[in-house]
Amino acid sequence: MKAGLFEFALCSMSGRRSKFIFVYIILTLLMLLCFSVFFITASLRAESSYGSEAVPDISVTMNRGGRNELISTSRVDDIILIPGVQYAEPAYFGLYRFDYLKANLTVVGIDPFAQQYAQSFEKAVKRHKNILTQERWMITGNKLADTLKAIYNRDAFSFAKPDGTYLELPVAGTFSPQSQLMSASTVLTDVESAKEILGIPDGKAVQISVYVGNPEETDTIAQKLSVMFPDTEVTTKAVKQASVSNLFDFSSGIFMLVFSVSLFTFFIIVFDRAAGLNMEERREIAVLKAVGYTPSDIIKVRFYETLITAISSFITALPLALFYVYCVQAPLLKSIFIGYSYMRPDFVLPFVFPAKEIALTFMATVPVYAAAVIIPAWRASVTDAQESLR
Amino acid sequence: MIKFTSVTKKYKDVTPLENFSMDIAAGETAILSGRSGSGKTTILALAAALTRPTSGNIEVNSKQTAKLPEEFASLFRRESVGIIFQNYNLMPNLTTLDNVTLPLLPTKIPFRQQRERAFALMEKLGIADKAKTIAGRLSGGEQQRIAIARALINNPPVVLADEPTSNLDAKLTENLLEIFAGIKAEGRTLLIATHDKVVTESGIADKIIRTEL
Ligand SMILES: Nc1ncnc2c1ncn2[C@@H]1O[C@H](COP(=O)(O)OP(=O)(O)OP(=O)(O)O)[C@@H](O)[C@H]1O
Ligand SMILES: [Mg+2]
Repeated sequence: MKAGLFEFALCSMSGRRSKFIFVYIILTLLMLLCFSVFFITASLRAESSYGSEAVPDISVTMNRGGRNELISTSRVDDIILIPGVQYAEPAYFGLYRFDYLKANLTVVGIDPFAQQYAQSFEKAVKRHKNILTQERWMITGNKLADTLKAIYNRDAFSFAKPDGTYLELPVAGTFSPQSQLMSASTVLTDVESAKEILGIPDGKAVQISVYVGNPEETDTIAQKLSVMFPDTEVTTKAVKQASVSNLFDFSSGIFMLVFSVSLFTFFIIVFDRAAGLNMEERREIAVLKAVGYTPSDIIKVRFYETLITAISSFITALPLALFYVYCVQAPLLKSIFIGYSYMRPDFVLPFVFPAKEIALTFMATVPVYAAAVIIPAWRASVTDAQESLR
Repeated sequence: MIKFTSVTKKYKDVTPLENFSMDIAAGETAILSGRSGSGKTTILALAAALTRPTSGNIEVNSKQTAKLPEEFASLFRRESVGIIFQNYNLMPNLTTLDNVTLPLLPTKIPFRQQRERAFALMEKLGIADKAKTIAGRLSGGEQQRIAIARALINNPPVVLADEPTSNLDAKLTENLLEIFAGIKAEGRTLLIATHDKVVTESGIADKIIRTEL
């Protein structure tokens, strides 16, 4: 029984081909855009949470007259005594100007065997076995490792220390592709090397990283810390991550432009429908009624038409978006989301199957369009047919 | 059978029908005659339950239709009434075959059988060779025969025709009267609204009903 109406929906659509092709194109573009944006953000969100495991719950930095200064490592001993603090340790990181690439490298000194790194280190780093046997080492992103190899023709890099001498570090490993956003221009190295490269004297650190046992207590402990050390700046993980996600600049111009244009067109379709049917469409519905179609038959026909259009758009847009985001790495859109810099465009969007985002896109577009088609058809199908047939 | 009892139909500013009664027995052929604007088309629309009377009773094929809700009115038409509109009201973008099959699509009749029925009717009306042609591209006479095939495909006991000869020349009018004679011979109730003397005087009608203002 329904097969007949489905057949008619197909026939009647092919009769009004240009109109449906227009709707199909708009709907496909809109879905493609939504999919791409959702995929990229889902991917970036996954990406940034890879890195966030190593972010301390609370970081304490020295602030004097608005300047950031090095903090005494001796404060660790005081902090560790605060109830609720699991442990605290000095952290060493900073920027190293790499003139050859006109880029700043972020140099981070870590103890790879410290418990807060052990896990994420495993996950984030490839081929790092030989670290165990080396006193000095560095780990960096693929891109940078390849670049260094190309420049110096060896798996090592000489850092110029502030005192003018050089420190050569062997490249002991690279980050796995999933973690490259935060790490493309990051150099992980042992604590001693980091201190030498960044010119941090003994007994000083860039910040003190504090880890708490119970996340609920983070704010209380942070407050306590700022009271205890009025000359420091205390930042919690949540605040830090909020500023990290600002990296994904949603309000960026091109994105908003494209998005609002397609949204605008979409609403034109919707309003065009909602404003009521034109004479020809009314007449068609009246004719269907005259030959024995009930209002529910007519709604079914319209429903099939929307379904055919929406599903065609969906199965066009989904593979296109997957290809665009994951195979060609979202040209144009990616740079909008992560900003442009020398290293960043090369990081790989990790594949996250965005089931929720797909559903969301479908829910955001199809029901609106379906309602815009079906409601006026239903209204026309329950009104006096003679009027439209005169 | 079509029976109107004291039917009044009011529009905003005109009342084309006031206290109108008529009685057409099952199998009878009747002609509705009257000048333009006297309410002929309105009577056909009321008989097909395409619109509802302001007051009065309408009984068609033993069904009270004056207050039928839309859903049931459609089912009533599907079972009981075939309509041939003055301007045919075809789906101009569909083929002849699709236009003729249109009323069968929402029914439970198997697809193959729908096609067979459509072809039999198109054969009978001489438009089978136009089955795959888009209806909008056909001549007026051919379009009318599509409209007739579409009206008959559900095998309705009641057939309504509005000014069926208004777009036809003498030859086609003659053909049409033959088709109507066939419909009559099949035992259907036939109501034709016309002011064409050729039809009125052809002797096809068992009775002529005059609409007055
Ligand atoms: N839906 C409507 N709304 C308002 N007025 C209508 C409507 N339908 C018909 N009328 C009016 O009712 C009157 C009768 O119309 P109807 O079409 O039934 O006449 P008719 O006898 O078929 O005329 P013709 O011979 O010109 O076809 C006319 O004055 C017409 O304008
Ligand atoms: Mg008329």
